[in-house]
Amino acid sequence: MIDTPDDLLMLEAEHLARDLLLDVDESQRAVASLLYGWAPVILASAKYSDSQTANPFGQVLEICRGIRGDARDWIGPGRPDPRLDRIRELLEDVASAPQASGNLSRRQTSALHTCYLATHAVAGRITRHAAELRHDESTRPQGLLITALGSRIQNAEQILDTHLCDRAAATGTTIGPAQELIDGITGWDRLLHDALVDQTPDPRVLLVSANISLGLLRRTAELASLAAANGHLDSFNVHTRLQPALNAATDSWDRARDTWRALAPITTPPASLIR
Amino acid sequence: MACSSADHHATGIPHPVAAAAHTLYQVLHSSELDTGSDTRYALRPAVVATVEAAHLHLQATRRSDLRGMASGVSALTQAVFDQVPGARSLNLWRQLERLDGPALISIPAPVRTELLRQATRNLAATTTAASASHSLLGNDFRPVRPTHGVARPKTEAYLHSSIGPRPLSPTGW
Repeated sequence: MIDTPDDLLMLEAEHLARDLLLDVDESQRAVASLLYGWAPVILASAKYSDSQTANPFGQVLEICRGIRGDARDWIGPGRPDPRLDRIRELLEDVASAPQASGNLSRRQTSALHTCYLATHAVAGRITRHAAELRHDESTRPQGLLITALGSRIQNAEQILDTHLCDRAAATGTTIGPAQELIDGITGWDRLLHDALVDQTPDPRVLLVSANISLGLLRRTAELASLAAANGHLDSFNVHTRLQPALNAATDSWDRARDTWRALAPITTPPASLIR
Repeated sequence: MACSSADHHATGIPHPVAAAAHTLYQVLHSSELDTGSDTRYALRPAVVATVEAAHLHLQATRRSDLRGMASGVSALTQAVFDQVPGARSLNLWRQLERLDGPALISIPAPVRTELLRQATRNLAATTTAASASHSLLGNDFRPVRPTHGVARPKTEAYLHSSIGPRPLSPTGW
């Protein structure tokens, strides 16, 4: 539905994002320009939700921060892709317009959707570029590193997808403990990046982080099991796919925690973190 | 880590990190969290957050300035020791700084390689869990309602119809 000039600008942004999906240039130069154009788009979109308690872009912004160094080292320098640059300009133009000229929640959802499409395009292109590098023995190590980079952008895509599916969260209208959990995760994620990105790693922070990951995975398994018992989730899927995957990840984090516990100076972690 | 001593909690863990961890732990174990769709939508980013944490752990393991408590480094070195032939093990011990106990020392290359392997495996397991967590959204799930209590409608046509035996197929079909 197009009611205002802002809707037209948002529509143009969405069309540009769809255009990115159709592009098949997987050269190093194209991939670098996509990567350098993506983060500013996320930043511009996040401004739509600044007033909200939980910004659906919070975790994605942290991923942008986390990959900056790796992108520079593994893909090399590049200029932002002109289409992504244009999307950013459009999003900024609409964001700077008075809110009275349109429905804010609709614009937030539209920005989220455009970001999702652009992120999907960027993640796909980086993943394919990495796969190409992995085929050649001489570029295989670099291909593996870029695969990790692509995987992190896919995570960003999954987060945006979740917020798009959960429209209440996307527009900040969710209330109650679930919203508090999202706030808690976003706050934790930001602090963890503050402590680890471009910093000398502190084994104590890594130990706490391993404990938090264990807590998140265990609680997810517990609630998923309850949801299946209550008929909210497909029981077969939960017991044959989700639970085994969560258990394997939990075992793996358990080993990581033991390692960081050995390396971390002796401390007394808060009682709430010992379980 | 760039953090003044004033920022440190009595636990030794940087204060903002400890505070954020504590807050998250409290909400995660809140008795008000139910199994409704709001919670399940919130758990999905929670699982994805563990993947990002696994990436950060991998990054930390790659850094040459990663240091650990001497006793821990020694124990991990011993573990690697068991898998490495004697001569190489001696070289490994020579790389260890001559410090002991709680002092932080650098980590020898073979131990670092093992840490890197562990972090890579952790990332792979966590990524698989995140992929499986898509089912938390339950978009593809339609609960099957029991039908046994519902009477089959008996129309006039149904009452007067009869289903005969299935015709036999010609031999060889």
